[in-house]
Amino acid sequence: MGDFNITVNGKTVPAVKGQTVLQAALAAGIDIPVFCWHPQLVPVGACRICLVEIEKFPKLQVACATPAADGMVVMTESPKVVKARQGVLEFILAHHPLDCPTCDKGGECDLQDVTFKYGLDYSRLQEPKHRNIVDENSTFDDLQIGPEIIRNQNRCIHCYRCTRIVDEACFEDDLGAYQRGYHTEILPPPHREIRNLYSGNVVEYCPVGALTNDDWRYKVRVWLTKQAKSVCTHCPDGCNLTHWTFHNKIFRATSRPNENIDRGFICDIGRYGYQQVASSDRLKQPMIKKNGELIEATWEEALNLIKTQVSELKSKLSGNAFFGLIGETSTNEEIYSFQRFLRRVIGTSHIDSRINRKRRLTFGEEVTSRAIAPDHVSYQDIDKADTFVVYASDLHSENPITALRIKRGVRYRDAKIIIINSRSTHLGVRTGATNLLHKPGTGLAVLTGIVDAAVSSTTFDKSAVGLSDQQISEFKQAHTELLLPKAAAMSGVGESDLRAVADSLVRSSNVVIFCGADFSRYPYRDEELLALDNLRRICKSAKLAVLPESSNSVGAELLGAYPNQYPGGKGSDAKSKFEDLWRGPLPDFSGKDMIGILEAINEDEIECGFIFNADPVRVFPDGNYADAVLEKLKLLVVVDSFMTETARLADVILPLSTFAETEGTRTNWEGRIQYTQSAIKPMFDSKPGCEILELLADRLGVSFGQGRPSEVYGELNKSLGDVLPVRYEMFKSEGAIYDRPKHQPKPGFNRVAYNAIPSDREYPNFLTVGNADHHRGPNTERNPSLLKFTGDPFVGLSEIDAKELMISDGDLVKVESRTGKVVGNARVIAELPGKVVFLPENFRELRPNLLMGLKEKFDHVKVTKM
Amino acid sequence: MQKHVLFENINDPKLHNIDRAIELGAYKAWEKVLKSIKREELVQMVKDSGLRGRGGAGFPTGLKWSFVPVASPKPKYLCCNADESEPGTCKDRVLMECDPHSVIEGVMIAAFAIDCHTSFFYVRGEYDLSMRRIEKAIDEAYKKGYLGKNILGTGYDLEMILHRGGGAYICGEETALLSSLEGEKGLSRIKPPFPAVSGLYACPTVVNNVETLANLPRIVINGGQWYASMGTEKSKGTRIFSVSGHVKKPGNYELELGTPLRTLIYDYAGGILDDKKLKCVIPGGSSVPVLMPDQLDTPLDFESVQAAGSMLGSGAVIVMNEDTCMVWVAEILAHFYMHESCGKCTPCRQGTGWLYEIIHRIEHGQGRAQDLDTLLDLAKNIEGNTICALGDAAATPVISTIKQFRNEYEYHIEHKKCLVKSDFRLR
Ligand SMILES: Cc1cc2nc3c(=O)[nH]c(=O)nc-3n(C[C@H](O)[C@H](O)[C@H](O)COP(=O)(O)O)c2cc1C
Ligand code: SF4
Ligand code: SF4
Ligand code: FES
Repeated sequence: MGDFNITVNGKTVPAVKGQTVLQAALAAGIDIPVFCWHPQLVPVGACRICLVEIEKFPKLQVACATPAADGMVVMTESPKVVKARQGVLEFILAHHPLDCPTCDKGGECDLQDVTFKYGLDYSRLQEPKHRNIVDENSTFDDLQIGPEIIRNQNRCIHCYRCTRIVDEACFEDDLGAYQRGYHTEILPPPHREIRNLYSGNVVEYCPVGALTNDDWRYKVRVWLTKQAKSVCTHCPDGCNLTHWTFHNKIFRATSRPNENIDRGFICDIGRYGYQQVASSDRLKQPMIKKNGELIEATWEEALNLIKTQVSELKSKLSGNAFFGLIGETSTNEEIYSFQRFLRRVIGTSHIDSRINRKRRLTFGEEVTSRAIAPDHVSYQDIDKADTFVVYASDLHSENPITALRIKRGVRYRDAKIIIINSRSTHLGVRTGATNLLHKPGTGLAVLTGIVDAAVSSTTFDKSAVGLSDQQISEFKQAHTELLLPKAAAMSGVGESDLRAVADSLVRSSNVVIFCGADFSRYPYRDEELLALDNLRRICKSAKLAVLPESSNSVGAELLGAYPNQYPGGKGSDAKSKFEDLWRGPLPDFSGKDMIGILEAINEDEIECGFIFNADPVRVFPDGNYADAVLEKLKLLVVVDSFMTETARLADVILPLSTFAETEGTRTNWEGRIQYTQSAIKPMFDSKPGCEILELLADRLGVSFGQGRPSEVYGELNKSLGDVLPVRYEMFKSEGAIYDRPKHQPKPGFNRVAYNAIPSDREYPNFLTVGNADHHRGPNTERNPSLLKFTGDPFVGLSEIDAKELMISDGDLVKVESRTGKVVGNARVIAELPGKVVFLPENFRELRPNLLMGLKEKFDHVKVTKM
Repeated sequence: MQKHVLFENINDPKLHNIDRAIELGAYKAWEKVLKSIKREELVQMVKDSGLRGRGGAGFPTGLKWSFVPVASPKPKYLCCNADESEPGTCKDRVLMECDPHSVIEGVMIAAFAIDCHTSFFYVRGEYDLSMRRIEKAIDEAYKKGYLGKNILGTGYDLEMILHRGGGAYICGEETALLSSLEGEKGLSRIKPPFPAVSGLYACPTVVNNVETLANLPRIVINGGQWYASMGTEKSKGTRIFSVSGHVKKPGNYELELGTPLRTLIYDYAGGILDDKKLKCVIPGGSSVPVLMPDQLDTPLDFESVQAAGSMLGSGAVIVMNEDTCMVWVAEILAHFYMHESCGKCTPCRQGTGWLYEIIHRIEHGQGRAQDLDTLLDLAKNIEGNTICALGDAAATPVISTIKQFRNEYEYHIEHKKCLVKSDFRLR
């Protein structure tokens, strides 16, 4: 029920304080047409289509911007309203081209719909129609205003949704309304394009066909398409998408607004990231290696070959000679089936999903990090926070929608952002963030310096945060090398900046700390986690979120894709329970992690493996080593959708259906489990993951009878009801956050150990990897639309280094390390600090992992002009 | 009756210099306000004076100030609206050019009334001399300590920032003026929220016209009652009327409110040029309906002009003689509003152009019989349905000229030429 009632067309309608007349009416199912209004934007009342009559108001009012008030009497169909509305529509249509049959928006155009419902069927216009001519020699008035976006000004109804979305929802500045009056034109600023990471939203929310994108326009008529509910797999934000399909082909992805997550705005990676489904390097058929060459085969042949070879190897060796790696974009059901297949059918516990880290992840370490448990953070917490700390993350490219939420807080609630990183990132743009740019590898000093600044301040109220004098002095004694002013000198961050940040954290009442991909890969991850936990101790209330890398990393952890963990995070004591469930014996509880597996292959202890939807050769931080080691295997079975670097090494390849052809659930960074419908039938001869895993198990003599995700989830739900109480059917409507175990923090500060990074004279630069614009991870390269934004691979150099080496943009350069070298074109990046070389990890042609050495803590490189 | 309150010393050629202005009494009121008047008393005094806004709408000034939530922790802003661009209007210009110190003293007093410490002065882009005079006046006032920190030792701080507009009529509309001041394009914004609650940078803001503000020093010195003794029951004080068009002595005349229109045109402005017959008068800037010769005895005060079917608006009196083609007049005005429409809201953006195109067509001998009904209906569809009053301003002359001079339009449509040949056309 609402706070009070208003009357709309004689009907009593509840309204909540702060609601507009429009919102109250819409909630009650009363239709009022709108063009310029959008739920996430500040109302501007520009289009005037929503005019309504309100008693006691001399003039008609715009429903979209008029606050509802107790007892208001509103009429939406009075003669006055109808006349005004028809008038507004007539004005809008006067110079509108009215060539709907040739307009790409036809069939889903707000203007068509509103005209159909409320308009007149004649026009009084006698004058020639206005035309915004782009090219005198063309009758088309299309203008390309960005890599993907085309504008036709003639169709524009000047609702300013597009420019407001760019400004108010995306916090960018690359679209505006130029000129005045009816000459007003939607354009990017002079000499620029609209190319921000969220640019596609303007197309989606343009109510007419004025803005369209190359991706979708003129390929299919919208009314012929079917829609499927999907969830983006490109990052762990978990935006909800709709896939639009026709004849088993996807034609576009749009947002499927989810109030809890994306609120209707998605990034371009999610929008255009479906294109890889039809990529030319899709694996179409099973393949078998014969005489060193992969040749196409049937499923029967491939499965039989696997059966013979696995049985043969198994009879000679134990299950311990096998391993399995699974990619973290796989569904929960695939991950569960995969580890069950390995544990129960193959008989090995050598399973991992964390294939791109150098740090050895042992169970012990995980437990340590658990003791300082990352909190249960969700998007709702972002909306409550007044300060954000973003540590070692290029949040804008890694978690674009999380970044938007944060920016929203900055814009509309005056929240503050503190960014701690060794390279500058896009997040600070237009948000006035505090940037603590530190020397590579000195994040620990920054964090500890801030804590020291806080506890040393005379105004610090230790009792308010439950700290004792003793704990503080212990902290100081334990970190003599990391206290101020040493911390400042070591990290290169000003002492006053550290103090200012400390001060602002202490004052904040609600802090959320995020750490991202860079963090997970850092060699000091665990120490840094401890230091971040210390940071949390000086705040009145602070939550810590460790952002996972992939769309279902959380699911991988939850469902036993780790060597020392059963599904549901269960330990060795659950062994017999799972033996009962899977009706058979399981191998030793503990297995080898990624690094251990590679070592064991190298030492001929492991001879056979299954790699599912993962490309370690491409991403393992020592590419040459991974390549050489995997080559040694007697049998490598790769299940993947694409011909990856790893698949080239396979003895048998099984073609996997992509996310678009596979139903199932994934778990986003919040721990929210969400369901994806399959948009199209499996393409070519590929099969969905659960089906493949069932086929394999069956062929190897253990049938589970669970080839469908719903069946797998059924088992999960039954056996792990304590962690996963949600039934499968429920996901079809909305996602649900699973309840992660809670941990009690231990009192006082953690002790952080720190060893300075040795500098390397021969290889003087630090290698940092990250994402190029409009890319994320190794897969986005398969989406042509995304390539339009970034162009070719590049080697990012700071201005100082470029100058010193006399390198300018576009020069061919060689980057060498102790383990390898790559060659590429230089790009000078103004924001990059000196002595740092940036390589995007998005391009096959320029793989940064070829420069990484498993033995090196940090990757040092040198650059030379060629 | 001609009564010189604002124009008291207007003919003094040195008045724009601060020393001369002070000799003639400038800044006495400001000193008095700072030293001996409480904020509430000042607001009450202006309420008592009955002063109403001279920018167009005639809203009571004291009442407008009292909407500002003074207790709000946000800063409060005062903006002087010197964007004077309504066709025919040139009164603010005279004040700024000849008596800038009265104007900025008015700004100071109004700022004090709403507890504002940063005030803005928004001058029309084309007003070059006004701009330079105000700039100099502000400089001088800072130097003499009437602006800045701890003014006259009273502890009151006030900054005054001069902003030169880009020459857009719409920026005279108060919300567009605020957008423009913020560095955005000059587009109007919906109300509510009203500027008094959320204006410049979303802080409480008052926008007052130059002439409105120039009255304040006089009211402070002589008292609200004194001001209220002039004018009519509801329209107090004097107003500057800018008379233009077919009169012998065009110019700015300060008269007590309630003076009949006939007195202004015939006694002060010298009557109709070449002693021709009067055709009609636009009494309050180009956006108000015309008055006909039989309405010449209308007293020039807010209520009477309204009762006569028009508005006092900006006080620009445009006089037209018998040789004026009203279709042509309507075309010129329609072109102006089309050109100046900011384009934010649909009816005005599309409607102003459409009106112009139809009238242009009629004026050029391409009219059709149904055009007049279409024009009236389109104008009605604009009127009252827009964000700001520019839409209404564009619709009014069309409706009003068709109502009073339908025969001229019809003649145009039928004969493809003017019924009355204007003998002074410039083109
Ligand atoms: C299109 C339009 C143009 C306007 N131009 C001016 C102007 O040039 N000067 C002015 O003082 N007021 C102008 N106004 C009126 C202002 O919006 C506002 O009402 C006025 O500045 C308030 O001052 P006052 O209360 O002292 O009259 C204009 C209004 C509209 C709708
Ligand atoms: S381009 Fe589309 S979204 Fe932008 S103002 Fe025009 S109609 Fe609105
Ligand atoms: S009425 Fe005209 S000037 Fe006013 S907001 Fe609308 S388009 Fe702009
Ligand atoms: S939807 Fe209300 S004015 Fe556009």
